[in-house]
Amino acid sequence: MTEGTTTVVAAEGVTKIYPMPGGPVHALRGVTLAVEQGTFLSVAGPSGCGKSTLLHLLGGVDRPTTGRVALLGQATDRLSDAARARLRLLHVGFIFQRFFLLPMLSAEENVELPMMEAGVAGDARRDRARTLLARVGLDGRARHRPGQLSGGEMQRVAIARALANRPNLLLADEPTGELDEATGREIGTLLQKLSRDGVAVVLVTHNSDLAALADRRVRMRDGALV
Amino acid sequence: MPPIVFLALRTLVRAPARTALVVLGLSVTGALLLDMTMLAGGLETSLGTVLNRLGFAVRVVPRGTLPFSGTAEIADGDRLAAAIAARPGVGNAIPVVGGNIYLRAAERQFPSFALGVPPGRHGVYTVLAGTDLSTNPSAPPDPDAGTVPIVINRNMARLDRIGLGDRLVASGAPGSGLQALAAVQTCRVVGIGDFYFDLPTQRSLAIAAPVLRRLLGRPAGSASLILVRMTEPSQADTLAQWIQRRDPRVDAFSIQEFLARTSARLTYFNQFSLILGTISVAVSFLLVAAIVTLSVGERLGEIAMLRALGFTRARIVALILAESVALAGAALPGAILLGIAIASHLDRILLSAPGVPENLHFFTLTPAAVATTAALLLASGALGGLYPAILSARLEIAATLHGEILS
Repeated sequence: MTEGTTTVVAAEGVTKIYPMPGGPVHALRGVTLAVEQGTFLSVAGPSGCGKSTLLHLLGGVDRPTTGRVALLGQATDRLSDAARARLRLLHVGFIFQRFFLLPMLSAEENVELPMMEAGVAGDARRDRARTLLARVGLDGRARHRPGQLSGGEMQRVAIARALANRPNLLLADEPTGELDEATGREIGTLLQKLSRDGVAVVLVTHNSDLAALADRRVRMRDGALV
Repeated sequence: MPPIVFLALRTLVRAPARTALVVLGLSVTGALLLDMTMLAGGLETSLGTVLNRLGFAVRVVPRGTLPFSGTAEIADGDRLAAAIAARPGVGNAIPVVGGNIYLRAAERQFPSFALGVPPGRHGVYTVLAGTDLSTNPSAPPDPDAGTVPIVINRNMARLDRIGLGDRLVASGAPGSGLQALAAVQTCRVVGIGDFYFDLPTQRSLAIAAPVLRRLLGRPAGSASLILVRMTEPSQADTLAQWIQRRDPRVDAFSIQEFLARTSARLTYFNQFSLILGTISVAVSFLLVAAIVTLSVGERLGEIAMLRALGFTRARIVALILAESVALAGAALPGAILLGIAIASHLDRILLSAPGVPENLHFFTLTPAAVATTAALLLASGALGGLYPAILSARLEIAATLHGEILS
């Protein structure tokens, strides 16, 4: 860790085993990793190597079978389900391959969603949603519903939503998987900018061009960092 | 608006046709539920309304009977009424004679139920046209014409085309042969009135009690019923107990006791409404459970996303329950309007059955019936949402998100 930087999330000797009818599946095998504030880390590797599992553990969505994940200094396996949800709400932003925008809400309302849950007042919520949409280049599309947006625009809305509560950690799972190359590059550049603004960004991707935008790159194979 | 309610309402308008169909279905089951709630206490409530309107707080009848349910009589009714009238808190006590007599007008003869009442204002019926029997208790009965005054009901006026001033011959027995042996009295119609417990085509009349006793061959001073008006209605139960102790040959009921006694004879209505009401609650529950489970199954990825964003399990449960309750709530106005329309139609059908008084109703709309229906419909909505809510709360976030991407 560089002097003066803060570790946002750290994994120490993390394993994850899924019990399956045909025998246990070792998704992660002793992964140790730390992500500091302002870092843009890419995680690459073939399908099924455990990238998404690692992302979910770093984000406090899941608990490790053994080992420890500390998110902002708090061991996620020792927190209750509600406490982990609160930690995610206020400090972690997720970006998914499939966007998962709610189709019955406008772009602005989708961005407001995490702020609503966090109890941010209506006016402040709307102002921040407009600001974030402008920041991702969608200031004229606030009232549009996801069905009226392109794939790239939807992912930009999803990024704005992930930034709503000013997270310390942004986790992106194959965010360009359903986008064309040019749009994918725009999204990558946007994530790069966000990391330079101080957000720790972890990007899981198959795309080597996108991974190249990160200032720190790791590869995974069979559940371990290589 | 709370975020959960906002999200729940937006989710419902997401598939407007499906939501509209479910709301329509719930309106129908809710309407049936309202009808059954109205039916459960409808007759009792309606009877209570009429009894309270009449204003008699206590009714005294021969032991083991209900008013005019047979030919039993209180032998010394006039004396008992006088004793009751002398009690504190009593306004007046009216001995009433009741029985069937036969009337002849021109060449036609028809039966009529007759109420024998003392002179003066008593409120046993309401005069709509003409005058009452006598507003002066000491006035003699029309000696010039040799007739006694009667007040007839609207049915008789309408069905037999009898009007004010017409003369009728009253007898205690039908047919010319028997009539020859029975007492006969010529009567003159002085008024047309509303008799509260008339059947739809029943002919009724009011006549002086002594005349009716003579026509029916009843002993002087007897009564079928004593109606007691109180100046202190809160004393009704105490008075009823006093009457019961004084004369064990009678039953004395306050309105509440009378309604309880009547209600015991109407248990089949309660059972009928309980069974159909339970079925409508069960169907409402199944409708909500089916549609919300289906809806949750279609958006597992979105629910997992909400969980990943930081929505707790409890919030997800609240969201799904809010959707379920909102469905039931949206059906409520339709259920009430449809329920009232159906009840009105069913009431007309049931009232056309023989032996049902005109002023009574089987289905009575009360705030309590609407509140009970609303509570049951919303509760069945909430219960219907419970299974999909638990299903959503138990969702494995990582596995669901992974599964959604693979699909």
